[in-house]
Amino acid sequence: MKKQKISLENQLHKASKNLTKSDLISLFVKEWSEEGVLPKSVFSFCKVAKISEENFYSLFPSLQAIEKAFWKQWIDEVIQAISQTEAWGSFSAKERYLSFLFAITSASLKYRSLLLERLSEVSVFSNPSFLESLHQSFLHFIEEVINQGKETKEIASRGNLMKLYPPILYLHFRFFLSYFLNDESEEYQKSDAFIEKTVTLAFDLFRSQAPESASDLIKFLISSSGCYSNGAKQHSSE
Amino acid sequence: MSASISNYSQDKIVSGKIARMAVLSGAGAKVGLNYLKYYGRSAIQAVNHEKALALKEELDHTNASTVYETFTKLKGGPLKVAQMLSIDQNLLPPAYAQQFAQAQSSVPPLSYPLVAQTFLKEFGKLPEALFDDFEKKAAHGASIGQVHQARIGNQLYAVKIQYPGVRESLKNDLRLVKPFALYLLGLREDDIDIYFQEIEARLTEETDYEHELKRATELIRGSSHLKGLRFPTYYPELSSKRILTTDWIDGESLLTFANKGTSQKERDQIGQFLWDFYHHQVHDLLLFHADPHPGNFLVRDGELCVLDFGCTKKITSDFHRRQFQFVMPGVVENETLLEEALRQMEVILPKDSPTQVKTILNTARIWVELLARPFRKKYFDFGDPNFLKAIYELGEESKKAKDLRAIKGKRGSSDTVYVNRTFFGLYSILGLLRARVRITLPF
Repeated sequence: MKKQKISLENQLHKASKNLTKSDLISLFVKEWSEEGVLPKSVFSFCKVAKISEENFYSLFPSLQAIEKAFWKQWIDEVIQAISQTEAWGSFSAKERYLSFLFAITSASLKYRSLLLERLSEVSVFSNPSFLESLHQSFLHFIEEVINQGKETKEIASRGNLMKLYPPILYLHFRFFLSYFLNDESEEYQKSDAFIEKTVTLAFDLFRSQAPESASDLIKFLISSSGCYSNGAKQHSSE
Repeated sequence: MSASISNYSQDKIVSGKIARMAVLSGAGAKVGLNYLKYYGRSAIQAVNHEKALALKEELDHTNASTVYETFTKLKGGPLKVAQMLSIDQNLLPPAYAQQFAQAQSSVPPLSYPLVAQTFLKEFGKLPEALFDDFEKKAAHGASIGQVHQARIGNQLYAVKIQYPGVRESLKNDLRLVKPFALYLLGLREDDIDIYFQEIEARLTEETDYEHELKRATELIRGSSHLKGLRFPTYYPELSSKRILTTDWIDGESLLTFANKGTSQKERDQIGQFLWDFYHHQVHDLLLFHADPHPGNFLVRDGELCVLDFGCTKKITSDFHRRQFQFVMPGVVENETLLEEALRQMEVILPKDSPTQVKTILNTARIWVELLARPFRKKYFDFGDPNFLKAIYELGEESKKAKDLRAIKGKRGSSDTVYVNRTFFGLYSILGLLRARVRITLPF
């Protein structure tokens, strides 16, 4: 591990003119992890990373942009890795989303402290700017999953209502991250159980008629609320 | 009214302490209502004795299915407790026992991605990387895990995968189940405390598949010379804390074997293998398979296959000597010997008054006589329905006995719990086989 790092640095020094975006992201994360705080300015970051500011700005407009790119790269790599596994082709939509979350758990271990620093104070309902690109990647991935589920009838067709599924699942993803970051069980087994149980429930609801029946009942109760109050009046007057 | 289990959907996993609590309270309330119905009805009807008995049995059936349904919803710990209580049938009227015995049937399966995730965590490899073939769908469930079939070349494997978080939820589950067990079974907290401590210790062991592998290997090595037994091979290189791999063994369940018109001789033979196996484990190895439950055995080509060594119990030779003196001839008949034996087991305590000693002696005599009855004979016929029935009925009797309830304090050794459980389990299986067995004495 250490050896790899050293050789990476040497490489970067030798070919500092040919730095790629992903090289710069690696340097950024390395610096962040080692210092325990986000690099404060482009100037100080470039100094530590031993690159010119010119080089930096030719690749990213700001440090914030690097961070956004880092989180996006993180889940893009996970999505790429799982979609290349042998079993992927035979997976149902639910199984695809499950494997994504399990793979995220494994891929989070390396960045757990960064995630903790960034997310422990953030509400799951908020959309912090550093997650913007990750959010887009997630939505893109989950839309494909949902479309697949729709085609195989694993997910019931619900017209416009289905536009809500991606944001709902993104919210679920954020809930999962927050659960995972608070999980102190052995091998994060509780997070595994959390994923399994919540995803099963979500896909059960996507598939079944239960939501329709519930909304039908609610509509009925609201429209007939007059009956209730009338009934109550009649009853009390008798 | 025999409620059929298949009517109940078991796919409602209840998680979270509050939800569990709610479900369990539900069961408590339902049982309470059923009793109310019973007492209400028997109060109205001037019933003769026979009718009252029938009514009581119906009630037990209703309650048992309510309780069973509740336990299966909970998985993990409570399901184990259900199985455990089902085997220690002296604690349960027959209707409960019957329903609990079905707690073996499968619980909702884990998704394949979770199975794959567990493999990655345990081995750093996917199941497909370790096996030529790996069935994505579980073959059957177990109380704290599920079993998949896998293949390398021509060899078939049974791969058991544990539910995530089982170990952690166990303590909570037991804490929740305890007050209900006390209530449903009419037991006193003092009586059941040591019981629960033992259960907790054994269950914690059961969640550690490395421990199971170690104990299984030890027991199989120690018993390999016995006739008529077949054990699966365990594969340490394909096993870990939460994954356990053995040979895949096909065979007939004991229930099928016993009821398909098998001859008395064949049933006696299998029964004898079982008796000899337990004799050797308990009295020679002092380490035994403490889960003698019909689901843990199969019959194949006239041999008895022993599966699942999750629950094993080790005893000391000192405890063995004190515990098994009860079954030796002459102890029950001789009051002084019996009292001395009970004092050694700390069932009678030094501070007990002569009246209390008398009460304990009287109850213990009946119990010991019954439990030791097979040991009185050269050959014992477990097919005699009166024998097991007498045990159940005694359990009911002692639950009601007021003067016995007045005797407080922790009594006896917690080791007794699993010894009793093992012997009751053994007697039940032999009863199921209706086997006539040549009896061997412990000393």
